Amino acid sequence: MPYTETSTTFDHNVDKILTTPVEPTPFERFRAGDPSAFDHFVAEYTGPAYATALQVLKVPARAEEAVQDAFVRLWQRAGQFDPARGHERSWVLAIARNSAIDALRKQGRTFERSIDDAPSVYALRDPDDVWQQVLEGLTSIDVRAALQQLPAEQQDIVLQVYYEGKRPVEVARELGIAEGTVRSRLRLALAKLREALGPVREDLQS
Amino acid sequence: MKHEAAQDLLADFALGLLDYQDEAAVQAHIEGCGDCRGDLQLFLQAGEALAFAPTTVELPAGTAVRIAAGVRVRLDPPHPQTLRSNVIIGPWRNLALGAAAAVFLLAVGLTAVTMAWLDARDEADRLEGQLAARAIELPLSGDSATGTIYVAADFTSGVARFTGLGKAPAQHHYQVWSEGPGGATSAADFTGSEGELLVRLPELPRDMTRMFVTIEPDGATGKTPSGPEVLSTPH
Repeated sequence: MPYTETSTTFDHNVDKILTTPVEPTPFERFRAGDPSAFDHFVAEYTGPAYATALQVLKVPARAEEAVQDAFVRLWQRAGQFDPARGHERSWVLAIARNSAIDALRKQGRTFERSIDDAPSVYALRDPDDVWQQVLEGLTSIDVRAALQQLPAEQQDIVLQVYYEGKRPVEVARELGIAEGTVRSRLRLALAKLREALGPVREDLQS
Repeated sequence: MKHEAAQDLLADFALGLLDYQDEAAVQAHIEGCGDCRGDLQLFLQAGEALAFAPTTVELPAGTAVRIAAGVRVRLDPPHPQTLRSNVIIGPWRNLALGAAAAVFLLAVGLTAVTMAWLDARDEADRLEGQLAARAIELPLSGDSATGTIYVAADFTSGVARFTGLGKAPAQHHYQVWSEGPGGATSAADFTGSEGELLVRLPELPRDMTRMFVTIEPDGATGKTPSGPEVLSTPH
């Protein structure tokens, strides 16, 4: 596929990342069986999770409820997290986003189930230590810069689908374009975004 | 599902946007298709990165505390209650046990015990009678508890019945609010308990449009709700 071709410069200091001793995070301690670490975990992620939920819901009180719901889900699902397959922060924030989208859906749009019930996407994630290192250094500024590099029509699709929880069929209806066009723009956008943020594993290996 | 069709849906699959049927079909295809599984990783990784995009926002005052308290109350199992002074109690059984304990500890006579039990039963009877006499029933719903507010025909008072609310978190209590055009006013506060609980609502505004229950920190002013809602009547 075209977007797997050689990519941008990889400027993350891998040696430093690999040799720096790392304290277990509150989430790691919680997963290791220390329930008292959960309060620290909540305190650590309340701000980022709230920002994520507010991006989707726009209303502070509703974002607050969604964050509570997200932490309850995280308590219940902590055992499902596999650090080899996913990054802690992105996993937590993805669940915060999913809680917010579920709140949107309850508000009036009629979807048939919780977005978090999508069963096996996570299990299909292959371990990728290179990408994990990219995520370690990733900031909001990096992602926003990468989003801004996308053509406007692709940015729009990503914003509506990812941050507003809309399905392609809804976006297509609103924009007056074919659903296949929405899907195509989404694919291209995600591929470009991924390419802009770091090298793909095969590139490094070659 | 054919390979080309699965390729078209990989990005949607990665972001959890598909319906059950398409999702199952894509998944079945991916499990037997190395190319699709490889391509899926890029979309999954892009989705992960998107989670980092929202910029940090300053939390409104009290938000972190309310979130932590709300999470805790949803995770903690319910405990036996300690009632606050202005709360009217629930089951007769507890009252009878309380009276029995009073006998043991205070060494009063059987007559006093009987009288205490009867007094307590009278109070419970009176509330139960009020329940039957209420003109309007407002259902309360929440994540783990339910309830009903029985409002008098003249809308000036009522009785709330809660089930499964559990005890409030440490240093917090529940507060019942009646909401109208002028905002929310407190109707009662209590610490909660296992099982069924009756709470007297001595004064309610006539122009009430909704009632709800929040978790408030002890020492809060009680003037305006600041904690998370755990129960609410329909809007």
